[in-house]
Amino acid sequence: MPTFFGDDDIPQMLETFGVPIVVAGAEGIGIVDYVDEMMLQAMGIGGVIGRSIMVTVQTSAFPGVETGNAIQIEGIPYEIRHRLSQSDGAVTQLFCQVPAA
Amino acid sequence: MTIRDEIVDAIVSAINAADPTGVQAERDKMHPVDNTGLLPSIGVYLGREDTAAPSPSGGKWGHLAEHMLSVKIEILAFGKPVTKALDPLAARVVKAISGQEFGGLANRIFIGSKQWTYNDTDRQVCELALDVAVEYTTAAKDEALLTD
Repeated sequence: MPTFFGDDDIPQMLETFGVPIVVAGAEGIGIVDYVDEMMLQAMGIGGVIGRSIMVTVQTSAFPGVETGNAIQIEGIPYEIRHRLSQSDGAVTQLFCQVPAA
Repeated sequence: MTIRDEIVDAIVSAINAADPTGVQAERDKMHPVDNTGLLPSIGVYLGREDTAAPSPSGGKWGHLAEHMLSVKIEILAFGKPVTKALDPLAARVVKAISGQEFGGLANRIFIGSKQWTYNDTDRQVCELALDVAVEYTTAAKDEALLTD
């Protein structure tokens, strides 16, 4: 039994927690994490609570993803702020933001 | 109530009176602004205070203490560029407090430095911290009195 997984295994892994996404017109699934974080705290007080939106996708399912691409997460429009390939590049994390008004 | 306290209250009142329909300043806003809540916001905080040593021989003004109070005003807003997002509020704050003596509480007030900070998560947020210096005088032995 192999102790590693290949590109063919990733879709099954994403299916468990994944939600429908559309990136630059391409449909697929991704695991979405919403994490609040503190920022802009002057003198350690006040500041703002921001929400980090990260989508983990199979890299080969969305080739050519670029910063600034439109992305829909369960039908809600965002845009890609930046992307980070992870480990061997088989999965990519897409960090999203609300489109500018 | 110390003169210091009255001055900071007066700064907040001056900012809020400058545009009653706009963003209201708040003293010691300890809680963070939730991203789902309302921005922009204005917070007014005490920084530090330096007091000149009184003359050891007393003298004509030896009974008075001269203070230099540092007040930090934090403006937070969504958007970019920062000048578009923050300058309208910053201009309002500067106009509201520049040259003020707050009814004789302060000798003079001036804007020291301005510092901009940026960050983003699901939205782009920016901050302008204005360092305001307030020079004022109290009785050396009683900070609630302008003179002894």
